[in-house]
Amino acid sequence: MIKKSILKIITLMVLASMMLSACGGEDTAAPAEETVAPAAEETVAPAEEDTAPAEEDTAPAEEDAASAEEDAASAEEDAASAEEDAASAEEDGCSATILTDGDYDRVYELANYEAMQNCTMSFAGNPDMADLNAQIINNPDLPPVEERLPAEPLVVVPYEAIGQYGGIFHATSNATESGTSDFLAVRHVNFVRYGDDYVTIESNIAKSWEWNDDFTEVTFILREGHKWSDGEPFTSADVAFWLNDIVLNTDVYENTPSWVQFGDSTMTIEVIDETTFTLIFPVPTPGILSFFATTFRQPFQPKHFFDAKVAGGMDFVDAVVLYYGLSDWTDVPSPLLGEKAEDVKPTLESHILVEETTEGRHFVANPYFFMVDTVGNQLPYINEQDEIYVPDAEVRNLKITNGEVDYKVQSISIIDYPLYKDHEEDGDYTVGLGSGVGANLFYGFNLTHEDEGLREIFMDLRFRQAMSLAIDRDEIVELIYLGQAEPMQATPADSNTVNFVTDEHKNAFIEYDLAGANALLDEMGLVDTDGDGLRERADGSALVIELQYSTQSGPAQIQELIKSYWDAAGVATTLKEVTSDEYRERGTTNGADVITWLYDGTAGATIVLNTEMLLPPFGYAFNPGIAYLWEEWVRTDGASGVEPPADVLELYDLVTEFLQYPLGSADSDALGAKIVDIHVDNLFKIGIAGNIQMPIIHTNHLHNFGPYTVVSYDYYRVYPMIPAEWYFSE
Amino acid sequence: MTTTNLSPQEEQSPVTQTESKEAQRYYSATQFQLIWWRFRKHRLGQAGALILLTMALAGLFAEFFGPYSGITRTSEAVLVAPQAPRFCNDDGCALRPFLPGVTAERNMETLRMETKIDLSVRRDIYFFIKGEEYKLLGIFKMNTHLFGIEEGSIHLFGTDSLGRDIFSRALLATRTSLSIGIFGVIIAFVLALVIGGTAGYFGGGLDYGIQRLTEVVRVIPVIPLYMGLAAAFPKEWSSTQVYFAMTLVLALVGWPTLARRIRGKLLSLRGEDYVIAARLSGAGPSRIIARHLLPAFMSYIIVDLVISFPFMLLSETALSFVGLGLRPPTVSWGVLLQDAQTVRAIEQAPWLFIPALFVIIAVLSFTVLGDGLRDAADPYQVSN
Repeated sequence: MIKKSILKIITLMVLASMMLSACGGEDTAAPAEETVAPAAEETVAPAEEDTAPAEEDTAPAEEDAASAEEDAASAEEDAASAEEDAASAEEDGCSATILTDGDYDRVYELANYEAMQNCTMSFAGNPDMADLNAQIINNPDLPPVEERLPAEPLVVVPYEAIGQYGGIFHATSNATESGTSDFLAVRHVNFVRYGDDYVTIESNIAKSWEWNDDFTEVTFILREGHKWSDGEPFTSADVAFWLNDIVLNTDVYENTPSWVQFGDSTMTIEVIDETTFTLIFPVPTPGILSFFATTFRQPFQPKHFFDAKVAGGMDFVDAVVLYYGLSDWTDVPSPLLGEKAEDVKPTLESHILVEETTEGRHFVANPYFFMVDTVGNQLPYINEQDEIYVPDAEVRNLKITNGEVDYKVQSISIIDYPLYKDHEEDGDYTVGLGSGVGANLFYGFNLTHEDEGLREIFMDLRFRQAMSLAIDRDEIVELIYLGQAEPMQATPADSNTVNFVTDEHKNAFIEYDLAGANALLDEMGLVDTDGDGLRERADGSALVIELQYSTQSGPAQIQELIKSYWDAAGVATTLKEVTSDEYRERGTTNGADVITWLYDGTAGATIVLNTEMLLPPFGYAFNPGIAYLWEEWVRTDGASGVEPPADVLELYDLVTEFLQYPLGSADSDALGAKIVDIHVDNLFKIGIAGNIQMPIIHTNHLHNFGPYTVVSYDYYRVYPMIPAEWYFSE
Repeated sequence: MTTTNLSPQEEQSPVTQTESKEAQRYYSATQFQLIWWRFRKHRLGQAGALILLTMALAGLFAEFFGPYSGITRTSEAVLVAPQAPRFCNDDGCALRPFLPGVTAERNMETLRMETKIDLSVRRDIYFFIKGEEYKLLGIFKMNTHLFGIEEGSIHLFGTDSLGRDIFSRALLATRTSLSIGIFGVIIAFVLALVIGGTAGYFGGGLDYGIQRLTEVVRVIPVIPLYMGLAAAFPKEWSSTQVYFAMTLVLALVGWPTLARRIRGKLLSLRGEDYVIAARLSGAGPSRIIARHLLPAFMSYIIVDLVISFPFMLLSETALSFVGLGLRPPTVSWGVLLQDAQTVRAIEQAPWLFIPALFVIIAVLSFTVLGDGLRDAADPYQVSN
């Protein structure tokens, strides 16, 4: 430990000095401008040609092919094939439309796009695809691009320009399963996704869907000819396989996961034909689309792959554990790590894993990916993705400021914004700010504390009100969030994405009123009996609150401020920094006095199905709650645990009903308002600040990045932006 | 290291019957006196002692020397750069030092706090000024500070991201870190002396038992032990109690190495003629160990102690890191340096590193002091 910290300091200093000497400024800035210039031309050119006939429109495509030719100067064969592709596009291609050209949607079904543009799209693939395909473990030889794409590919209208193929995308995560979701979302797919307005649900893997009248059955239609990354067909059977053979298989999941349980039963599937299936729910479940649009869980698995494993003599459950993983998280290590097997299961994502070590992972483009741009180029544009693990936050910061990370939103904080901003030019990247969705910093007292004395104090509403009033939120916003947040009370639903959170909810008990706090505490009988300036419990014994925190929820200075506020109100607070794992362990086993984290799972898209933040214990494994004995009482029908108060019991009924109406409907809003009322009236969680701005970083040679302004795990980070169409300008 | 000699006699054999007063004094001096005399000739060692003494005093009376308490936040002065007192500006010079006008403003584009200095403003510095109330040595209620300012605030070493005065915090940290280092080393030393001395002097079964015990202590992995203890410290403990517990913990895992060395040395020395002579004269074990054996390798012990001091300092930092460490508002050098361990601090607030200078100076001072003491204590060293 000691050696490590010394090493750390030395490395930091050395790196810092290297960095300073590397900041020559002029040298690095000049090529940056050059690389941006051609991209700008590309975006402008097609815009002018909007109304021009189809012949001229192919010009940019030609340009692309030309630049691809330059890129692949070493591999002349590839360049030749690219020319061929471009040539075929010239004959009867569609125009290179981009979003700013007019009133376009972000995605189109091929037929609709062709009808709208009055053109017939011809397809072109990545000239390097044969090489990439060769890297994919066990993949057969590559058929032509027309046979790799579905009969009805999804047409994506780019933000900036038709991209060019090539390049390696550099990503950085903290560790194998830590801080990886911002990169996971880059290649992620699901039936549907949220559009970049974060309201509209748009098609993705599924071509379309249809509800029955009472929201108990939804029928999805998949794409004809859609293929897994190994070229095998993807059909409804793969969805049924995922649900019936894995999720509902008690040999695989001993306890059926809660996210397929609705009412007192589970979701079921009815396969109609190869591309059509219906999901059936025991109760109205309009929120399931939001679930698919935002969850990391992919509701399809390659049946043919597992069938082949079983045919090869492997036990089915062993195969599932090996290739699918049993953790309730998607990003578990693949069998390539530790050489447990020599292959990975095929995917529908934009890139597929080809190499995994303890240092990082490497991905190459999926040759069978189902999206094309507006001239028919198959996505993704980017050839390869390279992810490395950097556990130390400061080393990550150095990598970012050196421009070595192409895109980062996770595990970076507003407090480092001035640092990132300082290096924007020499690191050749752009740092912007995006709002977190409902990511409100909160403090929650353990309402079912094992210590009966503390439980009684914490259960007294006056105590929670006093602790809320004692906090100077303006100071926290200014000192910790550099002024880029709003003082706000905690609400279990995010006020930006639902209609039923009012200003009264957001402003309840957030003023800084130390006198008011003291009055409430005095009234409770918590007075200072021994004259040390700190209050004792009513029976005269010491009142001390231990605030255990992990710096993952924010810098330690926040906790020092909170301690100073609560100490000032006479409530002795001790601080203890622990790791995130230890914090979660203590939190979920009812062992904490007070928990503090950022609210998540509160976005409209999430609460329509996921009730973890609405019901006791008001949290989940990654974000512990505050009332585990209430939850136990309800789960055991009163056999053990602590009986919750009447209004909490009422929450269960309200939430059950809330799930049965589509978000935004009058019924949903009325029920939602009641739920938020109960939460805020009780101050279950004391909110500090909301709309916290977070840095969004991407290198300047990464294009089609789009108007990315919402930083939220609730919307699965960058997934709404369709990163498959990102490309590099050099 | 090489000092001018105070006792030219030593070169000559004691047989020379020089009856000068000087020589008489030398021969009748106790060992302590001899060490002291020799140490007085070791300039560098004395400098080290002087610096450490200054630091100790500054730490002991930190509240008096520092203008603010360690937790006072000045929200108008967040992340301000260090300010040196001046005597002159465009309006002329004066004897009373002053600080220019200082404002910290956020650059709304980069969100960075920028310090702006207005030289036309004179904010005079006053000495023995009334300021925040504090308890000197934890007993006397006082509100006089060595220096201070009437308008705005004074931050000689700048402030941190919460607007706390680094000068005041560094002084408070000096108290904590130095005392943990010194007390930890002393406790560990005493333990090592008693345990190692017993084992080495008596040998046999007792030695065997103690050696096994030492091994048990040595093989306990330190980090899990710290973490276990971290969980065991009750949350009701005040920061003072936690601090004492930490000192103890550091000492309790710090003794085995020195104990082993003392034992080995004693094992080899206990057969020496002078020890047998002492034993035959009826001296008890504790007298023999303390008067005859330990002085024989005093210089060695001193080197060991000096080496352990920086180790204690760093251990405290490591402990703070696993959560066993000090709880706010207590600050130590380790705690202060943790705040500084970011790229942001290196680039945009390098003054957060000022406490590192304290660590460097303290460790260096201990080293030169130890060096001087070692030279002075070595009975075999023949001064030239």
